[in-house]
Amino acid sequence: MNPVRFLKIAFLLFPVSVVVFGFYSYSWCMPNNRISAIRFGGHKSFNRITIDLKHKPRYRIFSLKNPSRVVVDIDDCILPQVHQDKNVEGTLIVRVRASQYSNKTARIVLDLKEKNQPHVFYLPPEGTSLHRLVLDVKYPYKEGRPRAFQKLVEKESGSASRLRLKGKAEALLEKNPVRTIEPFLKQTEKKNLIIISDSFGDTDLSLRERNVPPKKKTLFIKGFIEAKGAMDTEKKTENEHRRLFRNKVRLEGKWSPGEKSTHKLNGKKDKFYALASIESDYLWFGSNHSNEDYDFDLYEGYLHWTLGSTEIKLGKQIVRWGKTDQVSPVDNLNSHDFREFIIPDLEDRKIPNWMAKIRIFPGAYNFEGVYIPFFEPSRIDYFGTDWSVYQHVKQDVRDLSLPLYLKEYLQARLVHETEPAKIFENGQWGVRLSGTISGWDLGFNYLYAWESLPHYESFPIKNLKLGDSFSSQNLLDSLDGMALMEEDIEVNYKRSKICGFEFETIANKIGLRGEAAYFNRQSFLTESLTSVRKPVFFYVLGADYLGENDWYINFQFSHQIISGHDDEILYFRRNNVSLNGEISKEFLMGNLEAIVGYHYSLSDESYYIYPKIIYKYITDLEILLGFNIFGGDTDTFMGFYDANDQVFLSFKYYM
Amino acid sequence: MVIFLPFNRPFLFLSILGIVLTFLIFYPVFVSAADLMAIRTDYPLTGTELAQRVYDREIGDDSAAQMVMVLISKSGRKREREFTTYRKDYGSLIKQLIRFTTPADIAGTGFLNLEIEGGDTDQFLYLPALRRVRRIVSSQKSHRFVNTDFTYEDMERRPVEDSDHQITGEEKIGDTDCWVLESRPKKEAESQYAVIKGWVAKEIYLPVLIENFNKKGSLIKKYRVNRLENIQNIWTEIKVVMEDLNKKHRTIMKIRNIVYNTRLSDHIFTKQNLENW
Repeated sequence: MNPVRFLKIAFLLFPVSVVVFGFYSYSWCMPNNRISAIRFGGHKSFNRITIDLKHKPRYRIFSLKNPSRVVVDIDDCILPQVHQDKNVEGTLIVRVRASQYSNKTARIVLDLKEKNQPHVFYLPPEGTSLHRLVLDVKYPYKEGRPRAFQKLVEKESGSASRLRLKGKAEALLEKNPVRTIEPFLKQTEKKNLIIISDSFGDTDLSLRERNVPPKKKTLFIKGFIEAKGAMDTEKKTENEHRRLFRNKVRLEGKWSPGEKSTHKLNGKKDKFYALASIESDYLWFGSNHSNEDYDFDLYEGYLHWTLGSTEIKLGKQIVRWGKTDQVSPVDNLNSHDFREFIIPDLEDRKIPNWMAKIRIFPGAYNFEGVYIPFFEPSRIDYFGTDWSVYQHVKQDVRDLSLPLYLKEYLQARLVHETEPAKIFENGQWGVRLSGTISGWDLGFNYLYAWESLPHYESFPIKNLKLGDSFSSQNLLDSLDGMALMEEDIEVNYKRSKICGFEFETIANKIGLRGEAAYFNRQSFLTESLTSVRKPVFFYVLGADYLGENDWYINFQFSHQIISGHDDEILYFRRNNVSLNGEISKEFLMGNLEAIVGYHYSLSDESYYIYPKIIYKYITDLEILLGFNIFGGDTDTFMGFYDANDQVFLSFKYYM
Repeated sequence: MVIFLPFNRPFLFLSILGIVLTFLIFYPVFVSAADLMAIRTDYPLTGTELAQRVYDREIGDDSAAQMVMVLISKSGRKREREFTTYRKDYGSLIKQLIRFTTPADIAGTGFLNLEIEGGDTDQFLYLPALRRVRRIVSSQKSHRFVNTDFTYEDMERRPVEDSDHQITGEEKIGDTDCWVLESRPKKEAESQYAVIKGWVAKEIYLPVLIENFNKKGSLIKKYRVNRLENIQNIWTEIKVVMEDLNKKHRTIMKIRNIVYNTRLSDHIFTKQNLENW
């Protein structure tokens, strides 16, 4: 080709190319979509913004705070001057703003009266309708009427103003018309029942039951029967008990008169109920010089009212404070049954006490006040069982070759308990403030209480120096030169002031909890077999994790600090650091559970390990097989019970 | 010397070579296009839109229901559990309380589930024996809900954006016309399933059959609605069955009684109320 001719053609084609290319580029760059209208609608349960568009939109939605806004960016979209409904007073949406945010993005902003997350969905063209992007802002409360109308109803609730209300409401609704909207969910024209039947599933359940109204019971009875047998794994001391049998039967009745007079499902009415339970508890240690206890008593019995945001509970009850498991320094409202030491779980050891409890929860916070008029000591045995304070000293003395006067003297010693008089001033009281801040459940409490464990005021053998721990042999070895007084072991109970803190939260997939308590004084047994009182600070930090395949791990670290620690104190050091918790796994769809519980003292290397298997295949029946294993030196808290390792089997049937 | 060439012109040779190379380069695209052509795409709505409609379908501002669950083992042994459940919408967030009423060994056990901003959930458990409310970790999604065949993931609302959705057909389940919706959870959704295939009843946007596939592509669980009722203008699953195909274990969940929009008190969804049993 002639180069001159080529240049001429190129010169002519260039502007044409630019125009053609430019046109296509422009067309390509121009947003494809176009907003035709922004409409405002409503319904009794939500406000609706409908954006009409030429094409199906691509959009993003996000929220902004202060003030609350919801922003919708529609990509590849142009916003011409479109019809926009004005804002309507009395709705959750203050106004709707629309603008061309960038060349290819149209932005619609919903200014909201309060934080809300709208439902957003797309509707395809239908009939004369265009493509639609719909934002439903739901009322977050009650019936979903416009707030102004709701307030009006609340204000004008008196019957005398019913006519006036009707007029105002109608006027308001007229002013804020609830527009007819296109139904998102079309009402099917079929019958109101679809039964999809084939061989899949199960047809044993009678479908006719659905139309039977629920039984409205006002009296609920439940309870359980529990039988436990335990046997020592080996005989370590001459007079120890090698067997244990315990039988508990508890029957509980709950009367809720409101269940009949109100609709059971609405949950709105103020709630009153009365609860009473009786318990039969038989405990036998044997077989050698057996020891048995039997109690038949009112277990719990209280009246409960919920009146708006106030709750009152009067009667014999159990109140739990604190967050940690098994070791809970702030949980001091109920005394414990220590006749089996700490083998029963913390919850099963608790003894109900007479209390008046009020709880007020006006908002996010919860205030609780408790008054306990009558002191209830923890239950312990002083003599004659493997778990008692002086264990089998009287039997040991009887069997040993000792002078007769000494045998008679030691066997005649008794414990004389003095409990606080039942007067108003001797009541115990506590307050607790709790609430949740940013996912942290926090609680602060103060308790003006009595120590539930005894304070040993005097021991009849004076100037006793036992050494590191109590045992029959230690006692007899220490008798030389001691003054044997003809008096009882004097025991009383001391006041204690306790300030506590508790927390619970979740971090990632781990539950975290903890407690800390300061006791102004706590009693500790010394080697003279009398008590001293020391200030104590005690904290526990714990974590638990529920893993895949039904594994559960609970781990707690506890640290007890005895201020002004005295070397004469038995079993406790100045710093008592320990680990406790459990590891468990479920099998057979939860019908079988294997658990290993542990309590290990880092301070003195004593331990208590309790592996067990729970079998729940039969409905309402729990079968439990396990071991309780104690270890450590005899001068340690757990090691003191080293001879009491046992295997146990229990059956618990719920009624 | 004459060298035989199939093409006597280099241009022709280069052209054919170019066509072959082009075909080879774009072969995967042609295959994909052919695959796409095999899938019908002229549905009136996309998979995501259908999933959104399922998510947004009307379920009332609140509801209260008495329900029964029957756990049926491989050998046919049945265990029954009854519970009451309360639900209330707070904007786009939902609060729910579940209280077991039978059998006796779990009676009184309560779960409080509070959705909070940001897609998280606060969960609390009340065990009557503990006598206190315990904050629990939002359970592992694949963990069974109170030892039934439903996992926590099966019980929760799946956000639409957590999965890719596609309509793959239209079928009848019983007499009900359904869309077949395949949802593939995204990695960040941490789902126990690789594919969730649902048959969504047309017009009411309610899944009546769901098949759950694991990451190996095996069908592991099957959910079926056996009975639907229109109660207070809300289509309600009255009886559903979840079957674990590996364990041959089934859970039937049935509504004995349900009411919607009764203005449930906010107090129901508090820790204080959870403690009151």
